[in-house]
Amino acid sequence: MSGWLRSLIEVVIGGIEAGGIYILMAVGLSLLYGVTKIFNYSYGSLLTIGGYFTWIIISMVAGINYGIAIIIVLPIMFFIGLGIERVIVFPLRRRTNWEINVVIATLGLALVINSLILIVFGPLIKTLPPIIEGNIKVGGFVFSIYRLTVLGITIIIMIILRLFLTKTKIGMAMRAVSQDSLGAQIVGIPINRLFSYTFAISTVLAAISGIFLGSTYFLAPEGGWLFFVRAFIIVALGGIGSLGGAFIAALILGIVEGFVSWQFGAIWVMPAWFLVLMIILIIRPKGLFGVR
Amino acid sequence: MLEVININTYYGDFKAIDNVSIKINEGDFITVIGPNGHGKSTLLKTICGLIYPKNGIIRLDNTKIVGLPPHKIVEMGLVYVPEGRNLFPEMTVMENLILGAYNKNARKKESKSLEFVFNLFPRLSERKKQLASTLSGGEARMLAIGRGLMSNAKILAIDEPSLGLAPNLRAEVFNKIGQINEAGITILMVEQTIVEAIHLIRRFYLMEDGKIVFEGTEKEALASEHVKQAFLGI
Repeated sequence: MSGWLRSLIEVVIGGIEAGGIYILMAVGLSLLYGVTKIFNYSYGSLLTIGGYFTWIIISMVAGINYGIAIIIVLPIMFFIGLGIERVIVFPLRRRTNWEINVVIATLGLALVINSLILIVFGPLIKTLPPIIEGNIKVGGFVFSIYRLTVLGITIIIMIILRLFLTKTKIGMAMRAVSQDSLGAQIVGIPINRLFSYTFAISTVLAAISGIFLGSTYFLAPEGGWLFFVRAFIIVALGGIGSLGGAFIAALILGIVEGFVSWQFGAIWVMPAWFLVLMIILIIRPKGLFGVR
Repeated sequence: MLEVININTYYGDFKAIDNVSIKINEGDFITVIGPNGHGKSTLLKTICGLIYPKNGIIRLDNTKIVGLPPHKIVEMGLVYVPEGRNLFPEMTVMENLILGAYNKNARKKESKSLEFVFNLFPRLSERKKQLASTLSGGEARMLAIGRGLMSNAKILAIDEPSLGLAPNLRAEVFNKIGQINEAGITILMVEQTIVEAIHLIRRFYLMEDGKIVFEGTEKEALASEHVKQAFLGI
């Protein structure tokens, strides 16, 4: 095997591992927009506080199990999501032109959350310990056990989400709202309640991603923006509202990231992502798997 | 059973429904006829809680329902069947029907309702695994009605069921609605022309410019030159 080919395979493996970390963050954003048409600008900030909450539990409670910390954080994030929808989004949604008003309100919320993080946790970056460490070698290629675990957890969560959306009444109702919200009202689905649940589930997915990203990269008060932009590009590439699309798009862009970092340097990653997005949107305006 | 008393509905400054009153008894088959864009659909949507009237009273089984969220009204058995169908396109026929039975009263009767719907529309039974988006116009119309029946409907408020259908299908759809009525479900239907269905209907209202300008039985409708020529197509 030539050296170049070997490097290329390593880049693809690394890219899939990197993309795996982005999947859930994009899925949460896509699910929320698909069902509720809410574009949540505070998504990156919610992701960040998910990471910070986990960090503070691990730092303050000596010897606490990582899993227990996560089990404490996720319900808190669920109720934070529920609260934000009830208190901020719901009152706006009852008026005309609510889409743009919700964008402004969630943008404001992002600024408030980021400032609160700065006040409470200070400007220094925080890193979460990896959930699991070590590498394995298969066929001469090195795999990060941590990143494979992240990918595995992501796939399990995607399967659970899929079963929830296709087999349970609430999940089916969410799909119904996303496909025809007037139709959903007509069959007696309480769509306001569904909006709250979807916002809460989306916030939980953001928090899980915050933990993944906080242990892969780092957490910073303004750090959510970068992840938010990445999530947005992945969602747009995969097709807004398509969860499978977000999955594939995250892996594609992960490979792009790996390749561009290897050949041109990491500073060209975001321009390359935008370039890929623009090319795909010219060919397929609805994204790879978009239906709307 | 359903009483609509002096309701007025506006779109901004435009008065779409002008002081309309309608009374429906259990088991009735009522039709509101009238030209396109004169407020018939708005009337149905107002009654079913999808649009709020500016004023007026709507009573369902002696309970005031103006201002209740749509899902509460569905739970009480008043179910809207939209003209645009509003099916869930990326779901199967079966999933669409199951979602019809979303409210808690309907869930208990889900299997019984399903049997009724499949008996009435055997075609839906054949297509239950097909996506709703792949149905023909007539089948989609049947699915919209079937989904409404799944909601444990006591009153089915059907918005222009024949719209866009070929003449033979129109007659079939009207016949099915007649059968639903015979099964004890009250029908409030909105249509532009109903010549194929005239024998099924007990009471007519004619709506023009948001107002009810005629109200009466088949005989009275046929006696009025205006109603007869313009809307019965006779």
